Amino acid sequence: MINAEAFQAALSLLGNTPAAWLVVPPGLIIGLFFGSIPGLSISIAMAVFLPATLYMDFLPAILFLTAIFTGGGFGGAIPAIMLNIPGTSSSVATAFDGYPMARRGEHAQALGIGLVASVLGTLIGYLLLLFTVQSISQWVLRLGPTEMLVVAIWGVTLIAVLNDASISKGIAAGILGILISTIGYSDAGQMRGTFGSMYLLDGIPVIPALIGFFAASELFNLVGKRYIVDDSSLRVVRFRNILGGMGQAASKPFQLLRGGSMGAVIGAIPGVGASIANLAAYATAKQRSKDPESFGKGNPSGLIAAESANSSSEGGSMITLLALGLPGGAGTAVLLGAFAMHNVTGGPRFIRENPDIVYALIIGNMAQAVLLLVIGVAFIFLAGYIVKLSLKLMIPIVMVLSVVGSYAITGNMVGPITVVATGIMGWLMRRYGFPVAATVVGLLVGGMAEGELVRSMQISGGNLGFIADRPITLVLLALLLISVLPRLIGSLLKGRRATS
Amino acid sequence: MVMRKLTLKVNHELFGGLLLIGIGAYAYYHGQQYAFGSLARMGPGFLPQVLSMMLCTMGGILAITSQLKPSSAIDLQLGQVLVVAASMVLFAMLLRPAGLFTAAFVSVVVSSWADRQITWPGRIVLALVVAGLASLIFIVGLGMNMPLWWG
Repeated sequence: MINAEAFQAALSLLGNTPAAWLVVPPGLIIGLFFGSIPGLSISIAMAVFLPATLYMDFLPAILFLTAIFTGGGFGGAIPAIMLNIPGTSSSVATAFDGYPMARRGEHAQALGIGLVASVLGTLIGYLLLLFTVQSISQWVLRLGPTEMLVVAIWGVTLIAVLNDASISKGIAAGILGILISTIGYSDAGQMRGTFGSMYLLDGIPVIPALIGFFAASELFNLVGKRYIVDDSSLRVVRFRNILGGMGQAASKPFQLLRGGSMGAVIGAIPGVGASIANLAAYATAKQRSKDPESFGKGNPSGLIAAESANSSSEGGSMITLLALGLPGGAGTAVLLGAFAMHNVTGGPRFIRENPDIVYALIIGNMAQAVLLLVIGVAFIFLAGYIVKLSLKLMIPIVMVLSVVGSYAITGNMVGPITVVATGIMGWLMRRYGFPVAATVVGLLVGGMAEGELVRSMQISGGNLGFIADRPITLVLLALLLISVLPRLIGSLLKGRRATS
Repeated sequence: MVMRKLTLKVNHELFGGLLLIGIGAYAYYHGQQYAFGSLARMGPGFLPQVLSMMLCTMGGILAITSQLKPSSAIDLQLGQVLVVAASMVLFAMLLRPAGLFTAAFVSVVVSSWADRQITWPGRIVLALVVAGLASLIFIVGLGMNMPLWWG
């Protein structure tokens, strides 16, 4: 299951790359910061700090970004527990039992429980990745162009369909992304959609577009908004109480394991990520509990389920990203952008050729989780002040970060202009209920999907009946249909009910 | 009642659907200058044209279903967004000639126009803090090759 040789190589690689360790603590702190300020999200942090990895090697770059990912997971729990305001969308269920605990005066215990659940959840997710990555990549290697095409379509469709927006909006958003990806040189070496501008020859610059869609669009959304944070949140936090909470969480290994493994599996499905894992694990814990009445009134088990699941979904989503090169959500979309920036193509070939780097990534992330335990405790003491940090200050900081970052990437005005243009587009889409993540994933995998489409049609000589001879393609197509059907039927039924 | 149901109310769903049809139609028109090719030998125009047609279809579905359910108007605060967008472009334009500190200071002052409650002293302090932080992070911290001041 584990390639021992590569595991050894990974350990020495991590030992010989001090830079990889240097960037992790700042990454965790950035993640905690952005996660704990309501209104800012983890994907904003990852997008605006993506250009900062330009001069790093691949391994430190990814570890830095995953550190933001990991830190943000716990950061979101802090305002959820203290103020009943989820810091990110992935900590909604955290507030269900965390806030009642805080109202009883057990906020320090609740934060301790959340921290341990986050740390162990992250570990569970990456442990699963560690044991499965080798076998999954061997299986994935058997996929030909037709299969990869179906997988890419599947990924984009799931992200487009599995959210609050209507199905047609989601699909339109995904198509829009792929359409944007066709701008620039095509596979055949012909210019497309450049409108005669030399700046568009290489296509829409992906990293600035990511910053625009994820960060700038949220920025525009936040302008003029104010989150009310009341003063009573500034309560005393005692170290003893945090430790007590940590012990309380550690004494429920079964709860941790159930939440963690649910999160990891959910995270591996494109389109559903930490937010769904968070809610689903909470619901399961409540359902299976002997005393479901106590949930929502400050039951630590609810908090454990919610926080372990949203953290472990990170490792789960890395399975899809590494094995298929397919991002399942905003966080992994930014990671795929980082892959592209460092000229790395995710997928089975990457795993086969660089097993040491893959294992180093996994081990590094597990070490990160342990580090979060230390940094997280320190952060809890400051959290009362940080949660109160006004968006007034953070909005201009995010603005400056995204402009300077995009300018550094392209070296000219193309970057910042792309950020602003995609930012306004993303903002409009958000206001009208289109899923922005679908557009970004379409943009990221569009080139790959087109290549696989052209190749599979060349192989088959343009005969569509050819897929009948490819059993894996048929199975994948069936899976695609099965996974989308419930949502499709549901929305049709809802539409009928609305009209009658 | 019947009369009211027959009138086409322009709601935002309908607008979105029509916009998608517009984008799709334009992309289709634009894509026609590239060879479509055949299934076996796809030209560079194949995917854009197929996608534009799909986009038009989705827009059509949205436009039609928009008439089936009531919709509420969305309050777009376009003015505020344009102020922030303009200050971002201004920042990028000032970056080389004026230096990071100056550019950040000016653009934060401009962007704070979107905030109606901020006072002038607050504006200046905010701009100084952000410009100082940005200079620290990018020039001192990351050692980026970028001028700090004018000249």
